[in-house]
Amino acid sequence: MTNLYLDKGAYFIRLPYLVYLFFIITLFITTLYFLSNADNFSDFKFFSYFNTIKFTFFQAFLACSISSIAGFIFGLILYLSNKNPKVISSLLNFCFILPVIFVSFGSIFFYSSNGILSIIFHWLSVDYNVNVFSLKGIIYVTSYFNIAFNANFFYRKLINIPENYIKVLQSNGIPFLKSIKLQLKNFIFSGYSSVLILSFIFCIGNFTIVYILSGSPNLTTIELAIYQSIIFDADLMRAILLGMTQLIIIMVISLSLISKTYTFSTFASYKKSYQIIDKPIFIDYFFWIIIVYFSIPFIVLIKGIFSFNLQSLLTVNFLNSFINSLLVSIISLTISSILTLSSLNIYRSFLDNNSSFHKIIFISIALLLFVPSLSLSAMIFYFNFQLNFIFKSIWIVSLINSFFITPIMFIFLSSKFIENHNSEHRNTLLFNIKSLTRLIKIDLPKIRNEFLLVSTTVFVLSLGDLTSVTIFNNSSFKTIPLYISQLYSNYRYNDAFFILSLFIIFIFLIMYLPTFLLQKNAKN
Amino acid sequence: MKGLTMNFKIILIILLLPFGAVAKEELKIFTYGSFNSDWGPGPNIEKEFETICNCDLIWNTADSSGALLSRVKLTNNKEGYDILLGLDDSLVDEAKKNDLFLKHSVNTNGLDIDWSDEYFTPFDYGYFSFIYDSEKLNQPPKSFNELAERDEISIIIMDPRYSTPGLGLAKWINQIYKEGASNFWSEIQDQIVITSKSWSDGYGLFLEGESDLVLSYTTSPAYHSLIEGSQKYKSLNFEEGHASQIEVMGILKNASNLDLAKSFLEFSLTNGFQQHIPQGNWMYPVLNLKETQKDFYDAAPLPVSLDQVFPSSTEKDKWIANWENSIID
Repeated sequence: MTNLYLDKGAYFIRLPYLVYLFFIITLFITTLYFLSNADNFSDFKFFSYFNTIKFTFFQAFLACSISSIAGFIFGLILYLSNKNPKVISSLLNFCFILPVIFVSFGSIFFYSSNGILSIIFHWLSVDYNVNVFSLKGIIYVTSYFNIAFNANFFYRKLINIPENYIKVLQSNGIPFLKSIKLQLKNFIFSGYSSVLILSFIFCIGNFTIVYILSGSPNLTTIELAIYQSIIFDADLMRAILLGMTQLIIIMVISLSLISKTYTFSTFASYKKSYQIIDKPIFIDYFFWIIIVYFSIPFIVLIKGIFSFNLQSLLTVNFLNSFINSLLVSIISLTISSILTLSSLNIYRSFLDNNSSFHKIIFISIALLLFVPSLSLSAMIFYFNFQLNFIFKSIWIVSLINSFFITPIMFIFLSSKFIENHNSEHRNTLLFNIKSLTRLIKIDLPKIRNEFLLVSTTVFVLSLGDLTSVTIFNNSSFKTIPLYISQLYSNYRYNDAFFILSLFIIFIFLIMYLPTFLLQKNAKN
Repeated sequence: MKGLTMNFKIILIILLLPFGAVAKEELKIFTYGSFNSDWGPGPNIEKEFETICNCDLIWNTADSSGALLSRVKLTNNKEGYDILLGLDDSLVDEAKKNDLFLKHSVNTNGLDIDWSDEYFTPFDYGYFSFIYDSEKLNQPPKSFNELAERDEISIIIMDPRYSTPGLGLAKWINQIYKEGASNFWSEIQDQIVITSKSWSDGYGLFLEGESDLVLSYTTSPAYHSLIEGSQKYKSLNFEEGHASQIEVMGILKNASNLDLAKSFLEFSLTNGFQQHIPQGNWMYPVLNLKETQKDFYDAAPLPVSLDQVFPSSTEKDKWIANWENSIID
């Protein structure tokens, strides 16, 4: 700590993290105060939620296991197919960040009793008896995102296998699949624990999917019970306690893995070591099966485009929802960017000075991933109530979204941000470079590409979110996903699918246009 | 300089005077989304009331009837609504217990239903029923017993924890089967293909062909008949009788404009409000409009009614527990 050099700029950079820390601590203290003063604390019957807790973790384990296995197989097939890695990686990324309502409605459109598959079966005179509003439907949609997430991890690992290694394999006549079993598994699975934790968290936090597809009271997750507590039973205490229960169980499960991992390198960009290897027979067929699998929800776009209705775009409700969605995403991204850079800066300065306090920074940010969004909503609702509703819904939803996307930004940028930090640290001391100058002149250019990629990703994630807005929406504040789901609920399917289609096209443009322009600019 | 400032102030006051003079009083009503949707009765009612009150009627909405009460309970109505419109009879007892409403002095005599409550006034009512597609189901069941015996008939119901029609079905079954309600739930368990979170979700899925029957209201076929010109959707007519639902409104305790709120409650029991209910909210109006709304009543004939029940929170919890115990393994 003796070398810790703090100029004015350093305080300025660290301020957002300190404000965040203050807010989180205040929020937790307020919540504890609320719980300790709740009259009906003894009314909370933990064991009456045993089935709900059991189902939550059962479906999460099931979806996570399916996603891991399928993700590995998909990653391997995609690698062996020898297709353009940039396209494949972009496809997997895009499938992972698709709005949940899009994949859910797309799956309903394809698999329901009156869906595309049913029509095909009927045409073939074969009985069709699939109920998409069931555990099968929930697992299918939850896995869709997590298979893309897992497959992307394994795919990136595989294309990063050193070129020499492949050459040695080929010259010695060792089959590639055998080499995975014998030697490559350590390399491929290194860092997978962090992906597994994230995947499990995503599977457990599938509120929107369960909300749309749970067609039976047996299929209630903790987050759905939290939603019921807030929206229908006016019981914030129960919502918070259920959230805490989920948080504690996830923490216990993840603790051993987290204690070994204070940075995630799993999302590092791929290097140019993509290899042409001998294609196994039938690999192209499997490749196209994977493409079809990921394309299924997109079939709904055809219906959407054929339901073209300009008038539905000129309604006050639509315009209001669209503007609100954009505002929420912009505010969330701004808060997250500032908070991420601030916390990364502190994180690195502890590393520079060989202090183990960097672990605390990591945990304080990563913790947000474990807190159920709806439970956080309940806490903030009470906090805002105490402040006489000083914060408007748009700010609350933006804040909750930013809390959810900040760990993703932090994790994604951390490895690049701290790359070569020791030598940089020496140079900054040697040339007396101020913290703010270091951030603007050295750090930001270094992480520019990654920052752009993660910013567009989290912007899109925020745009498609349908969790906290279900609690804080009102007549004047709705977002596009909520508006679409309300149209759908009111049996205005054509309008819902049309707007959903435009929304996906818009998301696609946001996701890839900046990268495309950046690359074009670099070429010029 | 001083004179100039004074003149400026005078000009400002003159300019602002017309706005001050025409500034209208506001009445804030909190209701469920579909009531004030483009196709709901809200916009027409707003126009009618604003012509007589010289005020601005401001709507704010929640997703459902249950969510309305929960919201004002959570916030203690710090959001400042004057009227809560859209609670149903199963929520009345709970609403009173929370001491959120003021007593009214509106005369509710002469309505089409028996009503006497010092906190709430009714604005529409309906009867729960199952709707079927007569082109697909040729021989509809005539009673709950027959429904339970015919395993081939698939049903969509609503979750009573989230939806008032769902709770209405629980009430209906309890009214008929009393202590045997749990057994009945168990008998129809395999026929229930979807338990949806809301009426609109469930009804939409039924129209998409996901089931043979859907829990709804006896008035639902009137919508298909009068708006879509389709006669194929019909309501089951159960010989045991049908449970009713009465929707009510009340003045919230910290209402900022009591006189205006009271005049709205009075207005809600006049033709100006009630005429928009049959083909706006697709429920029966509490005033007898059989002469002026003949088409509606023909398309949605009144069924045999069971006695009106105003359940306490304990009774409601018991109904839900009966359902949960028999359905959740």
